[in-house]
Amino acid sequence: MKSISKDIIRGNTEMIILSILNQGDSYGYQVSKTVQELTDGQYELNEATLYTVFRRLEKNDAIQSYWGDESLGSRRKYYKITQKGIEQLDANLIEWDYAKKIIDQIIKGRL
Amino acid sequence: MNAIETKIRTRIDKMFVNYTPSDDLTELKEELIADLTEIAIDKQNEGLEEAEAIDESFKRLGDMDELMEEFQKVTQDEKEEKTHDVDDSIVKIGKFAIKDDKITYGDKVIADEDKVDLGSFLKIENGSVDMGDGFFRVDDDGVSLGRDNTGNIFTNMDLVNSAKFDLEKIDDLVINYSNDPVYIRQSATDELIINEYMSRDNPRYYLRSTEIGDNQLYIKQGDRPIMWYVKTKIEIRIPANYAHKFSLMNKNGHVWIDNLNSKSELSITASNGATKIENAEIDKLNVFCANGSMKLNRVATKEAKLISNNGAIVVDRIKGDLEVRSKNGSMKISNITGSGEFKNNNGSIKLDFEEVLGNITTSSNNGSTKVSVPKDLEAEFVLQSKIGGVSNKMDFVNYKYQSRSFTQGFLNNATDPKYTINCKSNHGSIKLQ
Repeated sequence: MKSISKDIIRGNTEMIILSILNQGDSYGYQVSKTVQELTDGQYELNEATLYTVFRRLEKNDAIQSYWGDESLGSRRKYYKITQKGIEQLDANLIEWDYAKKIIDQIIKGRL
Repeated sequence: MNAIETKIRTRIDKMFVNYTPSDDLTELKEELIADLTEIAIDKQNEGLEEAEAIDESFKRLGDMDELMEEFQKVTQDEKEEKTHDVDDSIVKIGKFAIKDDKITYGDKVIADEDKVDLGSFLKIENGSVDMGDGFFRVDDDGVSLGRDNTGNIFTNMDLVNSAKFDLEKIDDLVINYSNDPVYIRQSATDELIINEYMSRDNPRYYLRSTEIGDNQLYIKQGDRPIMWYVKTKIEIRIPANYAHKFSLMNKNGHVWIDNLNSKSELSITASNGATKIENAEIDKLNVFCANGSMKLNRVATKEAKLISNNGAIVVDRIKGDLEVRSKNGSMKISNITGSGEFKNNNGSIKLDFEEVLGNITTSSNNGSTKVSVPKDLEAEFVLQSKIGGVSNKMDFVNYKYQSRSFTQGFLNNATDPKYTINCKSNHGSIKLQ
């Protein structure tokens, strides 16, 4: 299966995770499952990346975590986007659109 | 707890056995166990056997190095206190720990191979410098002051000024740019060419030059506006046959050297900003960085002096007699053909010699030292550390003296060796291999 290059995705993992949490609180594997579903399996966020980013976002107060009360199976730690996280996401999306446009101009344009 | 979870829990416990227990680590482990259990159950539902399903789930972990950096490995350290393991490369003073390439304070990494992090005051990472929590930044896109720097990134820059200088009578060339990223490259002609790229064109911004006496040429950057930021990029093309002094001063900005063949004695002073040199042949090279990292790759010199205050020094494939000094930041120099003196205050020293052509001297205060030399090198050696252990992993060693923190002798049955390896440390361990 074709999958997206790691280099391209690396700078954008924070934005990806914020945008998923912006749709509702979630926990580790559920986030990576959502990514997998949204990309038809073309991008798999591994656990190391996932938690590195979670921890970084939490340190920057972009997300908060809380332990959920799971009656079935193991207890889960949920992550919730904060106001600061929403602001970061908005800024990231603007930057992303801008970067996308400019990079397209550069690589597809001919003088 | 089901059978799969028990097995996963056991495996995770084994993986993290070398980390100090903490609430933070326990929470992370619980999260990983819950995720991997869910993944394994999914895999089992797809038809895999239990053992395969668990193996598959562990493949999803990925590269844990970066994640685990925040957690402290201290079992080694506890061992050291009891047994004084000679092989040990950890030094701990209270919360302050030095291990291999890393300096940590509590859970926080202050300096490692790629970065120096003194909190929001100063961060140096992957070639970018950040002071005052983003107030002042130097990165690949240039230098920015203040927080509002979006929009600069893709600012167009045009070649606004191209100046040419005849260097025939010059033996002392000084170029001074304060805030601009500078590229040094080869000139195709016998002339020095300086190209100035800027986001706004104004003759006030162009360089100024003066000749002092009949042999010195002094070139200085033009005015820079105080209020409205102008983005710049400077390209200096130096002729290959210029064989005299060439000093570049740069206060806040990067210096890049790429594909340069120069007979000059090149001195670079980069106060705040990283220096990167690749594919260069330079007779004599001096690099001084106050805040910022130094990266060299494929550099041949007769003599090179690399000095850094805050920032890592990473070098690969270098030839010459070296003098390398650092205050805070690690030093990693691989594939050296040559010799040299290496000093580090806070940070490790890691040297890998491909060919030894002279004496090797290292000294460090806090930080481990690791020196690798060719297997068959004939040399005399002295390794000594005040607090850390020293070890010699070479195959053929004749010891004159051997203790935990001091060894002396000869490598490979040398009787009258040409070279000496002398390594000293106050608090770090030393390893010769």
